[in-house]
Amino acid sequence: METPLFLRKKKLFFVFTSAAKPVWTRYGSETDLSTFIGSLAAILYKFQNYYTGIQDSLRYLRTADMYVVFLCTEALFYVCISKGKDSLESLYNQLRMLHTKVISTLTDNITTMLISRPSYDARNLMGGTHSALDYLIRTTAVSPSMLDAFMPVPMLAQHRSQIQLSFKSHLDDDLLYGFIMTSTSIIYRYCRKGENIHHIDTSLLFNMLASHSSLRSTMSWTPICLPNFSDKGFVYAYITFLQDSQVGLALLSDNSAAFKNLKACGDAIETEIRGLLPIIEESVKSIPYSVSICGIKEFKHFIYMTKAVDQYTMSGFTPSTRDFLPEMPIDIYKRTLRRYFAAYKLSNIPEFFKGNYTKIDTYKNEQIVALRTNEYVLFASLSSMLPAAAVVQLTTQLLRWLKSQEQDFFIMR
Amino acid sequence: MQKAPTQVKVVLLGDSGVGKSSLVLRFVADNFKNDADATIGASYMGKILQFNDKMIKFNIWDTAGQERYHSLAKMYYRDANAAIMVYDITKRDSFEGLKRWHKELQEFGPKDIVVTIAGNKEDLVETEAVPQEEAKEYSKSIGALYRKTSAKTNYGVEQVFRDIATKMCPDLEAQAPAARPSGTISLQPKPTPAGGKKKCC
Repeated sequence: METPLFLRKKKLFFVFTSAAKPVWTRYGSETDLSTFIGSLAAILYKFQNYYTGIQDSLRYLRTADMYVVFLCTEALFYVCISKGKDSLESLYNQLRMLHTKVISTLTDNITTMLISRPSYDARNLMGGTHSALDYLIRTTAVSPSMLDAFMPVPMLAQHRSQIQLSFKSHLDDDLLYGFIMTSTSIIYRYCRKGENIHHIDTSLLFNMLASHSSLRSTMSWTPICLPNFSDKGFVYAYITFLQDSQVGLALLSDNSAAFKNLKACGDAIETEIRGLLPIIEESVKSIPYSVSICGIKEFKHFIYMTKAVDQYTMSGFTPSTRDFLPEMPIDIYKRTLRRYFAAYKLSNIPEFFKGNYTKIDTYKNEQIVALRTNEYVLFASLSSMLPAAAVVQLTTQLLRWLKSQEQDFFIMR
Repeated sequence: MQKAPTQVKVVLLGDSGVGKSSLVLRFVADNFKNDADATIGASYMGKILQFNDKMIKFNIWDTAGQERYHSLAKMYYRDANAAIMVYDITKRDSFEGLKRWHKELQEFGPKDIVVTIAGNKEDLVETEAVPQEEAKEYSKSIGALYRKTSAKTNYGVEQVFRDIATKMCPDLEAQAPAARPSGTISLQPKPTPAGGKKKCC
């Protein structure tokens, strides 16, 4: 039998219901795939039957050159078939993000609905989201997703606090979250006092803005479900772009009738930050930045994450655009990222992580350092020629430098 | 001296892909994109049209056509002065979809909302799937205005909005600048006397 065209792709994603009804597929049409998805569902059920009584389901299948990874949620099933070199963890993270995106589009009511009507055709409900899902897959494939954080653009703290000030002086009771972002980067994030904003919700809003060009041409008032705020309903986003610029302002409210208020609030903020436009645009252009800014020539790459603000920063590569510098070509970056994943893996096991974790892995062409404490995570790549003592000493030096730069790398509270 | 323009809130309804956003883009910015991206939620644009000595500001809410947004459309048409129900003349389904929209408007919309039906994609008239007579008949039966449009070729687009304005303020076209008695009466016509809100968006 001839292999269908879609099966020759390197990385396939499928979403379907418990009645094996296709909901979304990355390649090919859902209709052509119904038989294939039927077989995937059948495999899942066979295994589930086998495990009757145990709260478990099939997690993955592995062949010489392929992973088939399953993520089973209450009513929706997610499958990834990857012929690439991605690690199991990163594939799982991608499937989890995909699920979050589906919930963000439809709220968790889809789960309730599909449990009562498993054969409901949910394909139409996901209409118009293909580009957003595809974008999500492309960016999560190259993101350090083990970090539970997002990456803002670096900007001098004094400039970022000017933006903060313009938000603080025009607050509205209806304003829940506020963002300054472009389709490639997050510049500023505001959160109502007493509330928290989760990095995944931040990424979901960013994904929406980045992947729907229609938002860039007008002013919008758009529902979005932020599952970590509430997966039961929508919050509403007022989205506008500063005149003649790529810089967007998003103001979110849990009140669906707040458009007028948020627009007034947005107009005031817009007027105030207009003067900062050149600085914002400059900072957006500053990523990816070279590893050399740390001033330690032995390093080839680093990723640094601070838990207090759930943000990370990295040199040489920008996951949201897949832009890279000559010092970090995408294939090399992907390999390094896989090695970071591998070095980090053990730190998730309580026996290995008691508030402090250090791992140095030596490869033929690089050494990977992974540091994890309760406050931060650091990954770095250095030359394989360096002795262990030097690696430790240089890493301490890098860490000290990164800590001193936190104010500019991250959006502080 | 110019008076502040009369505010008119217009909402566009219709299935996805019929060209609602393209109509608005053509009307507001005289622009057309061949590969327009689907609208998310609803987008807002404003445009002022001049009628002799009177100005009308259209506050236009362009809603997303996707099924999952249907339940949210109410939020936008609830206090609208006018609705433009758009269908694609080459797609029968999108015409059938109007009936559902109309039913909804009758049930939840303002009583005095001005409804217009726009048969869009007139440039593809060769592959028309809904006879114009049928569309006109239907429009008449529900008391709606009807116009064929093409956002691509800019056919009939502004006229849709002019129709709405004329229907809401019948004296608009008749009112010639010279005929106006100087600065005495000429109160803004109230198209929604039943206490309907005129300030919108």
